[in-house]
Amino acid sequence: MDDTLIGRGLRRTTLPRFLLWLVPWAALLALGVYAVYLCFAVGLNQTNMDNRFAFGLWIYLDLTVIALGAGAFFTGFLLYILKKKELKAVINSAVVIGFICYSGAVGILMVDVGQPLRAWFTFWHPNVHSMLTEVTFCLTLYLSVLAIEYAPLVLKNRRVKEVPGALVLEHQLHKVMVVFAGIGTLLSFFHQGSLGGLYGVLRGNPFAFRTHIGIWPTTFFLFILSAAAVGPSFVLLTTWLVGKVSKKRLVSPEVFQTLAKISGSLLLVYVVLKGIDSLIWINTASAKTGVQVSSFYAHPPFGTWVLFAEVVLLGLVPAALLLSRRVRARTGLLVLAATMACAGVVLNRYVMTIQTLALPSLPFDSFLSYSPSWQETAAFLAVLGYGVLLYSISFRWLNLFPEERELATKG
Amino acid sequence: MLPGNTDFIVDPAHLIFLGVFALVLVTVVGTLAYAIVSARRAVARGQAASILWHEEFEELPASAKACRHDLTGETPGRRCERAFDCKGCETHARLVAEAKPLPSIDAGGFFVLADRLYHRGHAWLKQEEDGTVTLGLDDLATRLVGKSAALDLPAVGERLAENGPAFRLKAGKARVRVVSPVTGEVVETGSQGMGFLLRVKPDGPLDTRALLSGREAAAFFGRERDRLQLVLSAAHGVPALADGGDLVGDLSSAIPAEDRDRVLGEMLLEA
Repeated sequence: MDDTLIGRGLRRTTLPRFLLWLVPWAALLALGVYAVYLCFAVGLNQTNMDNRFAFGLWIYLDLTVIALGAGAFFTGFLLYILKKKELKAVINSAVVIGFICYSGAVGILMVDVGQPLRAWFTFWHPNVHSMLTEVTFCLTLYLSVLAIEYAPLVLKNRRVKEVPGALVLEHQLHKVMVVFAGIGTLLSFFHQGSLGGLYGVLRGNPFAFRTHIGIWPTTFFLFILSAAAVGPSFVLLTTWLVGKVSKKRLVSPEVFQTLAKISGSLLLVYVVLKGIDSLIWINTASAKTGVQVSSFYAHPPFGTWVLFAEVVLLGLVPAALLLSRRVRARTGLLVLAATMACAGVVLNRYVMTIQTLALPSLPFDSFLSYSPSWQETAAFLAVLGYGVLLYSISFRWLNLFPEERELATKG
Repeated sequence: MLPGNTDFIVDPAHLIFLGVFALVLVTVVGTLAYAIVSARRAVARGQAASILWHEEFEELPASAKACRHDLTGETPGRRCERAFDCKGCETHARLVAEAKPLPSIDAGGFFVLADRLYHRGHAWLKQEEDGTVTLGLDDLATRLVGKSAALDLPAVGERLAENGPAFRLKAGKARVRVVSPVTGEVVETGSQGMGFLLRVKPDGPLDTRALLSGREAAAFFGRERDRLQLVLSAAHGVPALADGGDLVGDLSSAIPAEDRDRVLGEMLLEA
């Protein structure tokens, strides 16, 4: 049965070894499910969040996976709309990663809200003045789009395509994929932006508040740009990682180089704009509030090193590396640069979520510290477990890398 | 905010916000519905086999897509972009009209029978006197699948579509379909021993322009022998005629069991 599900010409490990590989990830998922059960059954007191520190590990996770999952929309945009055909080699994997990231984020949001049975309230009683309302609408719609984009991969499975009509539906879906790619881009543009805007509109928090362009704070645009920049890097990184774990060549080196070039170019633009935004913030937005910028970095561990690491070490440096032809020719350095780029955005989302809430925003406030409870951590890790499980199953039975068979034949 | 909801307020911000999302939602649902309805219509119109074949063809390696006139040396290096549907191909029509003499052909050590028409997916078709056609596996495919292969033939009365699945066969772990060279109704099933596998009553006049015969078929088999060597050479270093000799009679036993599925799929044009 298992053999007949694996694509023709693809070599996969034996079923017992595959099942053994799944065990730890399934255990991680099971532990997370138990933690989620506790949150639902006992209440959100199972977490270490409170009214003052309302955004914790889970929102940080949401922001991070949504930024890293941007490879799905951006690769789709480049392939179907800008016709960069070489990205066909990774689009399937990017879609699966996007689906995992977004479904994981939505799942965790449901737990974070605490009353999943009332999730529909957000659609029926939306607050149009809240960035989160727009995020909720976009996330829900985009997750549906990702599910539609995932469907052709399943329909092309060796056994599934024998079902009369399956491949015909796949063919028709493929024909209209440009529409879904366009919608995915539009939705991603807005929800990535709104997640950034969420912090930029915090007028009472001078660390997060930013100058507005039109109705949007600059963080709206920086979040979009940073997500688009690291999306291709994350696709590169995961493709390399899957290749290493499975010991297979999945794409040609040119694909890595294309992803690196795109990621590096966008990252450079992002770093420049982030630098300009930081200068405006230091000299204008923050200055107007009468708060010294240095006070934001006076609470260990959030020193100025955070800003340096975010903009220079994990921004400018990987951008320069990714744009260097010599670096792109060496896979090891390329992977290092992509990892640094992803780490930069991971750090940015951490700063925006955790540092924003930890810093005192009123004269009588004190610096708050927060560490997640084991339930929060377990739910966080469950998303990782779920992601590895779904990706592993997809990799085994679906054709995630169209070049894999030909590369295997070439040896 | 929404109608029937106590918070509902009709103002531009609400209407723009809801309008944009309603539009996106309608576009997503509408596009999905369009794809499903189109798929159902294509199946109802009997286009499923053609779509399936085109999908498979797209995924075949470039070496499997050589134009028939590349095989004979008339247009070296030319790849087919019409899924071997020569009927509407202008190049094919022009070259047939020119009718240049073909060079001498090496059939690669395979039997090419004068009364057969060959499909690129390794099925042959023979026109019978009663207006029916018989179908079978060509010499290369027969040697590749071996004598122990199990055949899954369609029942009498079932319909076949040109380039759709004619029948399936199973050899060890390998499962592969064989493409039909004709559209019609199965009127009799045969066996390897009977000299044919299916007898089919074609729909309307038989159009064999996409099939190969004579020297053109011989050229095809010569090229297929080369392609087989390439496919086999990727299979853990299986000896691949480095000395220029002939292929062994029973090719199936020479292919490692774990590679049989891939080799059969590539040679019988199933991605």
